Amino acid sequence: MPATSAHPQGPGAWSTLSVSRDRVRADFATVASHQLRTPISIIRWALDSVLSGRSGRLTIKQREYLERAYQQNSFMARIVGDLLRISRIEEGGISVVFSTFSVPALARTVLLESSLLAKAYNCTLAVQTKDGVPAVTSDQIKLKEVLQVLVDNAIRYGKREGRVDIKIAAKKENILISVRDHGIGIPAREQKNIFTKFFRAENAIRSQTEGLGLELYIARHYVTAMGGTIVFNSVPGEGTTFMVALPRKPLAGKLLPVPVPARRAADELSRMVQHLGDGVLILDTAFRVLHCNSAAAKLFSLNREAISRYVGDLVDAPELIKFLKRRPTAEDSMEAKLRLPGDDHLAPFRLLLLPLRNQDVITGWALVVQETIDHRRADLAAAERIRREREFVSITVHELNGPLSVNRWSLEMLKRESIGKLNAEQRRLVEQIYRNNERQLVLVKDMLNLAKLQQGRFSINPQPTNLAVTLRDVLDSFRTAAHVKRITLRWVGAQRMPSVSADAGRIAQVFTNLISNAIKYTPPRGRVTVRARTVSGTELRQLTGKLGVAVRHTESPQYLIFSVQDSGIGIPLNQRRKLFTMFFRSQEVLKRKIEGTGLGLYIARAIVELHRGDIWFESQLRRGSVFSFSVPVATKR
Amino acid sequence: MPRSTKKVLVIEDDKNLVRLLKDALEGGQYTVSLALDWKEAKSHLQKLRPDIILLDILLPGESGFDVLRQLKAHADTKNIPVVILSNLGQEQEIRTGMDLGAVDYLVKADIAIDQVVHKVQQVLKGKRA
Repeated sequence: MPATSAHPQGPGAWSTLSVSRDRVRADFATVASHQLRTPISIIRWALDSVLSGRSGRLTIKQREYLERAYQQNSFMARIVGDLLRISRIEEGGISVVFSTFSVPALARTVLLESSLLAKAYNCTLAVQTKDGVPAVTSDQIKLKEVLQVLVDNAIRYGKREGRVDIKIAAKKENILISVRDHGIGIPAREQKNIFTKFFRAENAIRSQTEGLGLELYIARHYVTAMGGTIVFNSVPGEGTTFMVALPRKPLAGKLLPVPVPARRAADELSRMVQHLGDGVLILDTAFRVLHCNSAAAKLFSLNREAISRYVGDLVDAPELIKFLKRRPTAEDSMEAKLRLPGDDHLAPFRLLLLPLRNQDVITGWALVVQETIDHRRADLAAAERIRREREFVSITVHELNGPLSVNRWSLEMLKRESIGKLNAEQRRLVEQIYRNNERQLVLVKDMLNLAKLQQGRFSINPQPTNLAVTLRDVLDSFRTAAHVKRITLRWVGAQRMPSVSADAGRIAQVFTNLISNAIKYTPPRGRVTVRARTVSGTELRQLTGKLGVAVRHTESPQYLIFSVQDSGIGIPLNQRRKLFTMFFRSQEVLKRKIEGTGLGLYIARAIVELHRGDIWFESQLRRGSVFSFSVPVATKR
Repeated sequence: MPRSTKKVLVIEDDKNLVRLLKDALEGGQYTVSLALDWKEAKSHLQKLRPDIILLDILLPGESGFDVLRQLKAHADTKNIPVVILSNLGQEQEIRTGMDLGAVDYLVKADIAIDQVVHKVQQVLKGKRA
C-alpha cells in the first residue's frame, strides 16, 4: 500500500501553489473605498428608514433636508465606486475572465435589478431578443456592469414616463446589444467627449448628483478589454441609443485555458492566477505552456501561438533553461536575469518554479515571474500611471468634501430640531447619520493627506510657534470624548516651553492622532497623560538609546519631547514593527471594521520627520503605551 | 399575519446596519434572525432552517467566504440560497463569492435598503436575479 497522501482527492488538489483567493487585497483603493462605504451604507439605510416614515411623520422641510442628504450620500457612493474601478484600471490594466453565459438572461437580471429605479422615474423597461441568441464566452461580471451603467443612464436621462428598450441580436461572430432611451439626447457639441474621463453633460451638472462622469469611460475600457466596441447615436430631443458589439468567442491573440478535459485542473488554477500582478505560466510536465495569466502575457508578449510551446523558447532566461534541463522535482526559486522582448539588456527577476501535484505525482508546473523592485528597466509608463492614479485619487477625494460639508450643515439643523421636532426614534437615526457623516470627514482628510504625501505635495510651513497653545487646544477638543469614557485626560509637568519653528496645524494633527488613539485603546475609567519636556540633543540620544530606539535627529542642541501615555491594553508584539507603516493593520482595519484608515500614525510620522524630529513608543501589554515625539527647538542665531 | 412567513438569517457584524436591515425586512413580513459571526450563525442554524441567508464577507473570526464554503458543504444548508452583502465589491471578491455558490453579490453602499428587501423577494420567488 502506498503511503496515504495528505492531499485530498480530486483534480483540485494543488498542494504547493498557495494562491489565496480569499485574501482580500488590502491596498489603498480597497481600504479607502471599504472604509468610506461603511458610513455611506449606514447613512443611506438610516435615511431610507427615516424617509419611509416608519419611525414617524416628517414636515415638508425636514423631508427636503433629508432628501438632500440622501442625494449627496448617493453621489458619494458613486464617487467611491468609481475611485475603486479607476484605480484598478489605471494601475494594472484590466484582465478579463471568460465564462460562457446567456446575454438575454444577463440583460433580464439587470432589468430586474433596475426595476425600483425605473419605478421612481416612471419608466418602463423592456428587453427584446431577436431569434435565438447563442451563448457567448466573455466576461460576465464586466458585461453586467456595462449594462447596468447604460440602463441606469437611460432611465435617468430618459423622459419621465418614458421607456427604455434593450435589443439583443446575433450577427455573424458578434452579439449586438442596444440600449435605447427616448430622452433629452446629448447636445451635438458634447458628443465627442462622452467617453472621456470626468465627462458630465451640461444638463447633468445641474443636478450635481450624477457621479464624476467616469462610468462611460470605465464602460468603454471594459468593452474594449472584452474585444468589443461601444458606440452611440443621439438625437437631441429624441433620445440616445448605445450599441455594444461583443465577439461571441474570445478573439485570436488572447491566450485561452486549454479546453481539454484532462487539463481541467489547469483551467481551475489558471482562473485563480488570472488576476495576480506577477506573471504566472502554467506548464505541463515537459515545460510546455498550457496557460499564462495576463501579467505574463504582457511581460513576454505572448499570444495564442504560445500554447504547447516549450517555455525555454518563449522566455529568454539562460539560468532558467539550465535549471529545467536538470529535471527538477521540487519547488525552487532563483534570481535570474531575463531579456524581455524588445529590450536589449537583461533585467533581474525572481523566478519561482512550483510543482503541481495530484496525490504524489507531479502533473505540471507553475512558473511565477516577479519583477524585483530595483529592476533597471526604467518603467516610465508605470511611473506615469501611478502619478495619474494618485492625482485622480486626490481629485476624487476632494470631490467628497463638498457633499460631506453640505450634509454636515443639513444634519446639524435637523439634529438641533431647528426645522422641526423629532421623536426619539427619528432623533436616534438622525444622530447616527450625523456621526457617520463626521466619520467620513475624518477619513477623507486622512486620504487627502496620504495622497499629498505620496505626491510629494505634503508640505509644512514652519513659523516660530508656542506649541503649548496648540497642545492645549487639542486637549480641549478631546474633553468630551474622554468624559464620555470616564477617562482622566491631563497634562502634567511643565506647561511653558521654548518657542519652536513648527507648523502648528500639522503638529496639532500629530497631537490629535496620538491622543485620539490613546483614548480609543484605553478602557473606561483609565488615564491618558500628556507630558512635555525640554532636553538636549545628547540627552535625547541617551534616553532613546536606553529604550533601544534609534532616532535620526539629535543634531539640534535642544529638543522638545511630547509624550502621550495611556493605561490601555498595550500593543501586541507582532504589531510593533509595522506600527508606523502605511495601512498598519490594514487587514485588521478591514477585518475588524475598525474606524479610520490605519493611516494616522503613518501621517503623524511624516509630519514629525518633516520637522526634523522623531517619533517612537514604549509599550507593555496590559499596562499601556507611551508615544513620544521630538521637535527641535529653534536656535537663536 | 401572513400565512407562511419566510425566514431570513442575516450574518453581519455591524450592529448599526443589522438593526436597519432587521427593521426593513420585518416591514416586508419576513422573520429575521441575526448573527454577528459564524459561531452565532451555527447556533441559529441548529434550531431553524432559514429560507435565505444574507452574508457579509468581513466577519470577526472566519471570513464570509469560509462561512459560505461551509454552508455549501453541509447537506442541511447547501440548498439555502445565499446573497452576499458586502462593502468590498471588487471583481475578485464577486467572482469568489459567485464561484463559491452565492446567488448574488450586493454592495451595501450602492443600494437602498428597499433593494435588499426586493432582492430577497426575487430570490425567494425563484427568479435567480
